Amino acid sequence: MRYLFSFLALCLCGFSAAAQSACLDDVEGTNFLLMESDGHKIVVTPNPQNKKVGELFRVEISLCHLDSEVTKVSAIMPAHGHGMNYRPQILSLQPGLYKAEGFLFHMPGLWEFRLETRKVETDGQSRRLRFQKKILITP
Amino acid sequence: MKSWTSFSLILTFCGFLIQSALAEEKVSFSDSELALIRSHGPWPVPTNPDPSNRFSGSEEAIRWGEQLFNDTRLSGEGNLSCASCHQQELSFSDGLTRSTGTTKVDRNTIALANLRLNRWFGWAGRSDTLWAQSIHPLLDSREMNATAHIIADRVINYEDLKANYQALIGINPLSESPENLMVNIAKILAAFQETIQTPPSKFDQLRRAVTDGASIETNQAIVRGLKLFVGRGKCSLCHFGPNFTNGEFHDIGLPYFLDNGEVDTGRYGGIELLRKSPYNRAGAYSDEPIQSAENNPSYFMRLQHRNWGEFRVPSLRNVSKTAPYMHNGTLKTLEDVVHHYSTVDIERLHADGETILQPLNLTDQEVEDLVAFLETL
Repeated sequence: MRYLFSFLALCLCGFSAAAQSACLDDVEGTNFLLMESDGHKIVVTPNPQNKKVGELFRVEISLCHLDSEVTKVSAIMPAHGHGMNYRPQILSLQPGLYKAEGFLFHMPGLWEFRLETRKVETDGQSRRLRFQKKILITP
Repeated sequence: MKSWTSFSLILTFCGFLIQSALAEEKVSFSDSELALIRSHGPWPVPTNPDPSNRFSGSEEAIRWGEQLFNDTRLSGEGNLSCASCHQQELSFSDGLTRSTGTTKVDRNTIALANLRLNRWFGWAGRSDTLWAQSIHPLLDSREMNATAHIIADRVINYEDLKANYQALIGINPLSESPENLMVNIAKILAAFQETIQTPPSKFDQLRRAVTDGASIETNQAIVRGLKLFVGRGKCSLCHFGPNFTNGEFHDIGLPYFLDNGEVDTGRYGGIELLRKSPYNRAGAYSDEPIQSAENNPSYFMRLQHRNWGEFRVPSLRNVSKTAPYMHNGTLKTLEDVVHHYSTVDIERLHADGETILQPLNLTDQEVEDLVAFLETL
């Protein structure tokens, strides 16, 4: 039993370390997507990293130091006036770390990745943050 | 009067010379156009067997599937087969505006080819597997007008069908439920249809020439057409990739009223039908493990208001041989299709239509060029 707890603790540390590493500020130029809203930074990591037109992919969302939950994820093509034909499902992996499955970009071009977080404050007020970032999907 | 005539003749001649010079001008491509051209190949695309169909890729199933495809005993009245509408000599289409089985249906017969590359089947994508799509014409009263019981009776009562069924599936058809038996027949039909592929085309040679510098002698009209296709025409955005389709659904401003005044709901109805269907990829009749089936696009499909009036983007491979065109077969020739996009009435688009779709306002020469290019596919 003691070994089992140690193993679980190790796994948890590994996960947190992975989540933490995705929150570094120097992720520009990699396949991470660093998104900012109201001074908060979050990191989105696609899997597979090389997104291809017409292929399903998922993302891992690390909220870094933002104490909130992810409530919406989507993507649109601003120039075309439409979004995806698919609705990704959000799964909570651990506090601050989420997975969203079911992304499919069906056309090449400029897409805008959108994400919304929410936190219910002690006074009952909801605090929402909207993140958005453009991604170029090449043919 | 005479001098005016001479002047007009000279002007016409000069115009002709200028047009000829422009027409022969060497076409060059931007980096983004070259990237799109590259994305249209290589061809053929390697595929794997369909995990939802245990007969996919089986030689025996393909052989029997081809026989069944041509077998009228699968229809209610015993007079129609899949090949009645999907005629091999017409590129597995029928050349008609709208398909006619026991009676005329609402849509054009889709030419069958390269189906293993599809993620959706039918004009409205009401099926997410080829075997499920193969069930619909069997059961539709306007098409082959059979039922699961009729198909089961035929397989049980005709010795050749019974023997083939038992040999391939390993089960006496008498001990199968009619529903199971019909699904197996549809899967065997699908195994054959997956093998229908279009060969490398003149375009594939042109693609190599343009992107790799291989030498090819080709009509400049075709090259200009290619430039329009990947450039100003923006055709490649929807007719994307090696199979010249992004596999999805778009509203392109075609009428969607049916003969009886009702509306063809297109993709909207397709999603609703698929959600209700017991024959979907994650359903009980699928051979795919549920974890794998739930990792497919259809598991994440989304019903949106904008889906009204959307129809599947057809592949353009072999397109010169599959007239007439569009979901309702109303455009008779490739010239008609190009004219449609040249003069598309965006007022006819659904309220949430494609903002990228704008009239191309092509010249007569550009229409000819685009058609010349489409004919190479």
